[in-house]
Amino acid sequence: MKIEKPGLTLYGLCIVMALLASAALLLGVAVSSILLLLLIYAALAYSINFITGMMGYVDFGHVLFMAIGSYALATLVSYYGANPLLGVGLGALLGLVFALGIGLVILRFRGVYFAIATVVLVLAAYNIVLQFPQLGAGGEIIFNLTFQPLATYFTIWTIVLIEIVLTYYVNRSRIGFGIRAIKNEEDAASSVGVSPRTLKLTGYMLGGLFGGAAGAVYAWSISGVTAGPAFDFTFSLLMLAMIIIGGVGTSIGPLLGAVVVYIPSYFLLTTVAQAQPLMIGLLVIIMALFLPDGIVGLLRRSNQRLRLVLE
Amino acid sequence: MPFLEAHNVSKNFGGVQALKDVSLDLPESAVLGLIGPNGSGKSTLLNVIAGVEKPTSGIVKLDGKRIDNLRTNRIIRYGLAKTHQIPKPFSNMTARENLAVAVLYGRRNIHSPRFALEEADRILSMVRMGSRKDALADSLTVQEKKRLELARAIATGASILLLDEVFAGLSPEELKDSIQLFKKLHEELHFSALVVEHVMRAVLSLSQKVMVLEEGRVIATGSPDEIVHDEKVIQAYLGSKNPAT
Repeated sequence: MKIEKPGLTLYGLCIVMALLASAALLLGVAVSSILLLLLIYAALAYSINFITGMMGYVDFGHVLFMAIGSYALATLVSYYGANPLLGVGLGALLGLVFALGIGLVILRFRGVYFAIATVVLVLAAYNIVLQFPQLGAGGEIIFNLTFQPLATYFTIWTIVLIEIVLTYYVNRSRIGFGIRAIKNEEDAASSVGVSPRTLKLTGYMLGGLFGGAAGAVYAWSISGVTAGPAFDFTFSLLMLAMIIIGGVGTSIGPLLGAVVVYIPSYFLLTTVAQAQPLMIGLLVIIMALFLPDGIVGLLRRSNQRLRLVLE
Repeated sequence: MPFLEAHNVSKNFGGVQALKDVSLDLPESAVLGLIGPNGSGKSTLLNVIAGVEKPTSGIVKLDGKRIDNLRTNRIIRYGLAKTHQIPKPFSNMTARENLAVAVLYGRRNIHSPRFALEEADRILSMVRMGSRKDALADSLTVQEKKRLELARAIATGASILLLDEVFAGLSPEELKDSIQLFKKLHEELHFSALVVEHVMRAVLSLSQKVMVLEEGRVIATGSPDEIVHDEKVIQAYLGSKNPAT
């Protein structure tokens, strides 16, 4: 397949990523630890974007893949003393494999039934983890690694970069056209030859892969995993909030959304922590009512030139 | 050698028999009209042929190959496409993107979106919608949506079109325009078509042959002229001339 010439959107995103890389290198550990969590949020937002953003299948259980990645890394590092990078690889692989297995079943549901199934899956997975002493039996798995902020930082940075480029090219490709058609009108899509089953599974597996990878880096960054927080519903909601605020399905939206959700919450956390979910919730409601296409949609509508450039 | 053929197709929905032993031939580049009162099974027949529904019994063949056990998106590869009675455009995509999807995933299995978009533009101007190519499908008028539905079926590269009431709900002017456009397209593309229609004027002027369904059964087949004079057809539509018999 011939690769099309990239547009301004991709150049812009690459510049932002270059800035993020140099900020970590030049400004030191304090700044990079703030940006690390931002990048983890962004990685999660891009991963759910493949499912909810592009296909329109609302995934309330995306935290499941994050948890799978977290447990993969924590187990590998704490029991086998493996290199955390190996843990990230395993997290991604398990995310992919679980997405394949789960997707074959739950992608048969549509709309609200799919959404409910994703919630149930998380509850089931949480209760399964509680049964296994090897997985901490509901407690925690912690490990001690030498502090290596740059290694963690550039791992998640690389994951986000891959996600951005992939999102961009998937949207422009044949697969992107097919996935958008499914999002718009699934039955009509199959009536012109699109195979919804294959394409939906592809999108879901991409979501699982990157969700797993991001979850592994998250566990790496906090040196462990704890059952309760690992399956916290709030993560799923935050991921959804990020793509809704940024602009569903787009290449810029998840990063924009991650910034909008994360930066204020970082400052609020030190002052009024309880206000954070409230404010994000309000913002999502306002966006859903007045700006269903998120910030990207707003920018596109405001300016004809932006409409052609923003993807 | 007929191109599309159906033999003794029956379809049950629970206890209701929607189609009873329906057979038909659709030779190459022929237009077959399909009429009948509401609920007579016209749309069900199209759905069965297009793979949306599986027949309870009977066989559908395309160029001699059985297609009655294939799914819709596979049947497209054999060159058969169906329009929807109520247009189902990809609402948040532009008219040209709507067609591009059909070009990419249709019979020709194109891989370049750029080529598909060019192809889409060509087909849009063929159906006289060139000026609307960048409009979101959602913002099109009813007539334009119906036309987009037809154009999208053509864009799949199909040589057999199953058209479900593409002429319904149009004003007399629009109807005249659409009939004329259909004739022009048929001359240029030589597709064969199975046309389900309530608008008699459209069916009779387009079809070489007309088939009449009533309660899932074929009650008459013939030229448009024969059909309008057929006793059974008149009875099905208007009731018996002489209620005593």
